[in-house]
Amino acid sequence: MASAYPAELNRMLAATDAPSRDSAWDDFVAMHSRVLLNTARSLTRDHDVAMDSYAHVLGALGADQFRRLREYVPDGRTKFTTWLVVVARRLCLDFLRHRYGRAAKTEDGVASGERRTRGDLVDLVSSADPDHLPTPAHGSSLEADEIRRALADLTNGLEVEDRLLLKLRFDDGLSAPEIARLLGFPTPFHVYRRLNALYARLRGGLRERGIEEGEA
Amino acid sequence: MTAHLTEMEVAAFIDRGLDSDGRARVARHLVGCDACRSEVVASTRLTRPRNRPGWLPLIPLAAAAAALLLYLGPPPGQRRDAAEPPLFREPALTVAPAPTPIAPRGEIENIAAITWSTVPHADRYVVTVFDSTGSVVWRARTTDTLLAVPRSTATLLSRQMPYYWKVAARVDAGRWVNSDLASFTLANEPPPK
Repeated sequence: MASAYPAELNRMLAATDAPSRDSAWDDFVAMHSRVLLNTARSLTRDHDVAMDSYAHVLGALGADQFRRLREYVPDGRTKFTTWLVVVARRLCLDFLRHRYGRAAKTEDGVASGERRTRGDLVDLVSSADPDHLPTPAHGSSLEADEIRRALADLTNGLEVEDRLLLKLRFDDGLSAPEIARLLGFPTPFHVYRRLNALYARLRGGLRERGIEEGEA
Repeated sequence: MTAHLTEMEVAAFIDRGLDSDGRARVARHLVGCDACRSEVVASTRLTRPRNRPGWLPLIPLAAAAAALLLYLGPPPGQRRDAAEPPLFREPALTVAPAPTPIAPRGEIENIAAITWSTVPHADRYVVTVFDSTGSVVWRARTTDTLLAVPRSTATLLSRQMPYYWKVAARVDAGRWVNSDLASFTLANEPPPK
């Protein structure tokens, strides 16, 4: 299926002599440098580090007669540019980890962010009515823990696509248009509608367990 | 936890190229794997098409068409005849008159208030008082055309020294019109009898 490769990649892989290979490589870099640079910049704010990452990506893609690029399988499941972004991002992460080590701080940050956003879901489901906003008198940690546990049980019982929807919305903070694009909803309004249905279902589940709205 | 997703799986999930079984398998993995989900989210954002509305390239065309219409004027059927009686309608307010400082001006004994003329459609006025070096001595805002000067401010003003003030009126859409500068001097206090 070599014919299904993007033309610039096909030229590069089919080149038999060094000059034509170099020329094809230059064209490839010119065509994709913008997306590769954006990918490098998305992982660091430091301009020099981003440029080093970019250089590392180019070196890795060109190494061993483009061995990394040959791994792309043009089977119609994905666009070459999407695959290239994923590969470049992994290469950048490898480079940054090699240079700076693993970012334990970042993982902590993600964990705290998740706790916060999961808290948002707890608030949303257990006290959607503004007249029943949590108050210190009601908000004892025992009750909040009980709701969290119940909510975790209830979400585990949802369909996998719905669980992923909640994860993307509350753990990763994706907007409705982003979720619509990723999960294939026709419009962002369909995302909101689905989310509202899930909130209602979770509230119903909490009520069945004897947890009324406003208890959090 | 199973092994992390391959690059092809991540890319195919983003491009929605997986079949239903493959998609369900990847979705199940993503629910439980924060690292892969984070990769999917980040890569999705990097491959997101620019949110440029489709009508954006039409703006220059629309501007050119509007300019042409302005140049040509209204169609002949809609042009008003010179002999036609005039329309008695208030013209659109395009230029707001500046406020006129009324008092204090010249030499005064005391300053208790500052007043100026009304500006149509103004919803806010800002009064600024300067000393002779141009430094701001006092600034206050109001919706009225009269502003009382606090005693604490009035007592700080020196006598026999010139002061200048102006008022700015906010007319519409955040546009401000400024008055001319007016000046006043506090006269010496009359000797006690």
